[in-house]
Amino acid sequence: MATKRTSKGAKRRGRRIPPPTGSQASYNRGYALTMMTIRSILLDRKTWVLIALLLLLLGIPMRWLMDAPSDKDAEMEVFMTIMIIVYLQFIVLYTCLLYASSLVSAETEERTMTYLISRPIARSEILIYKYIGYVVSVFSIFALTTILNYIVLAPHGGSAAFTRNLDLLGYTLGGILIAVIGWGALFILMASVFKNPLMPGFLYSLFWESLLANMGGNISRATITYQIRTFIFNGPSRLEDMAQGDLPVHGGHTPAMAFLVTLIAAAAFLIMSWLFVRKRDFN
Amino acid sequence: MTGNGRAGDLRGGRPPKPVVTATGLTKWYGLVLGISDINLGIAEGTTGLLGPNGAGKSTFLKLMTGQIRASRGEVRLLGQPVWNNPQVMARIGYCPEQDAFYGWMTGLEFVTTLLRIGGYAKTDAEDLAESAMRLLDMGDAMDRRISGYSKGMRQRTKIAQAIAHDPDLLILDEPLSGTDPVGRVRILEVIRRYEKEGKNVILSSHVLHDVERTTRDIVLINKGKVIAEGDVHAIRGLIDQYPHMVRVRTEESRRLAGLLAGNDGVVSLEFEPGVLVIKTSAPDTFYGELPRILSESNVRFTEISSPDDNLDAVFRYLVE
Repeated sequence: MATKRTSKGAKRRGRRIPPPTGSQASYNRGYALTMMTIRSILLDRKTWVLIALLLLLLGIPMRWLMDAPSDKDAEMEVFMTIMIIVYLQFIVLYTCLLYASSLVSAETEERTMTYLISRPIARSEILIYKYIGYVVSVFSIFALTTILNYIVLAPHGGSAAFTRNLDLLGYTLGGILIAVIGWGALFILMASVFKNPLMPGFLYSLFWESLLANMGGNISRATITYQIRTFIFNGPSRLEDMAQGDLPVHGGHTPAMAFLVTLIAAAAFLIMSWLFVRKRDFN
Repeated sequence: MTGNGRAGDLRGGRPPKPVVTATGLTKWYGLVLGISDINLGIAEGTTGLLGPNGAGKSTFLKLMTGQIRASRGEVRLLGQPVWNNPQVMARIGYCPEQDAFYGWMTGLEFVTTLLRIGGYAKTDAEDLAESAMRLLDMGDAMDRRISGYSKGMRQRTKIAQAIAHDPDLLILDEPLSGTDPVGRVRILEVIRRYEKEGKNVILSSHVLHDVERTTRDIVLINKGKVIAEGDVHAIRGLIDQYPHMVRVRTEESRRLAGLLAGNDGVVSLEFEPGVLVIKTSAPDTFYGELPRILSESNVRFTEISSPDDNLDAVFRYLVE
């Protein structure tokens, strides 16, 4: 196959380009690794299976619309039920487990980590930039399908309801972002500790984030799920009633506080991950 | 090369300015010993790291490139410690043995991305990557996905990513493994050219012939230890002190043994089912004689092989 490329490289062949240093080099490294992670996630076959599944789930609101009641804001109850029960308690949790835990372990298993380690990039940078790539790509997928759900359901309440309920959409997206940030960092930590992180991650998701988070009491506060709910249900006042008695949330926390707690926890998880990864052999 | 505490020291006349120094370097994988107490200085120029499969060569290179941490001792590249020191990685290029890639990338994207992760700006990275790919005759294939490459093309792509940033030290782990003849010639040319430019190359291989084609300076590793280092011809001489083994697969072992019994170079003859094992102290003469004897006597055979081509046998001789 003959190449049509104009060889800029050939023009510069024989001339050494000095290795870059400083903040520009750091930016280049970060951008390249983040973009590589985003591309690898978006080109992954399981991502397309996930997107197909999420699009299929649009069938739920569409089916509801076929014999929808005329109650005011009933469509938003359906929207929030899909988001809280289907998305956040199940799909987002296990998607975070699948992607975040493979950020390091896939590179190790496929033995491509060698190429990264033998570059002038610190292990902490590898961890951070891959994490950023994961957050951007996974959040984008869920944000897109969340918005699609909203677009399908919101017009049922009339054109005014579409704009009136945008705050619900915003808080839901915020909750998804918290989930992706918090669970992602936690599962990266698990992948740094365990050689095969999927099983411990699955058990954690099942018992800690699903069972414990619904038990109530102080213990449920030690879950990411609790922070997500606190963020969403302490936001728009009309959602408070929906949360009362059903789902444990922190009454005294503002959404900003829940976000901050999650960010601090994620940072702590990433620092712990780095402590493991910096000592780890990559064969 | 400078070193101590090794089984053989067959060094040439290089100035003792090491690009790699290992001090008491030991690596355990759980209860399995990878390499043991290596003390070594590899000088400027091209050096071959030679040893049979599983000898510890790749472990040594992984320690050298910061992939794994030494259980004891230290390795320094270009005067700097390696472990968790990304700065020194800007000066090295590493071609790993494993056939691992981001298969969804094109060859050019792969090299460009790794250069960018090394800190290069987009345009510089693209130019350098393209130059390196073209240097390895990958210009026509560089815009195709790596997943569609042949083994030889993948090997050349790995080398392209190692040389693209023009490192001071090139570390190549089995670079000729799986290459086609044309690719092999091209890779050897690149290595020689690299040395001519005053750069340093460490080439690991289990094939003596491959190493001989690029350098005279070698380090022999076996069972995790450096057993000899120095001039390849001296190593050859050492090897030639030991009888070479030749196996002829034939149903007429006894008749062939009778024909070979009077040959000056033959040290011993052994019978295995369907195979005659000959040990010779004069391999060059013997390899010339054997086809003539087989042809003239019309002895039917299906295979002639020499385990001596395999470095395992050479190393067995050296450590005996």
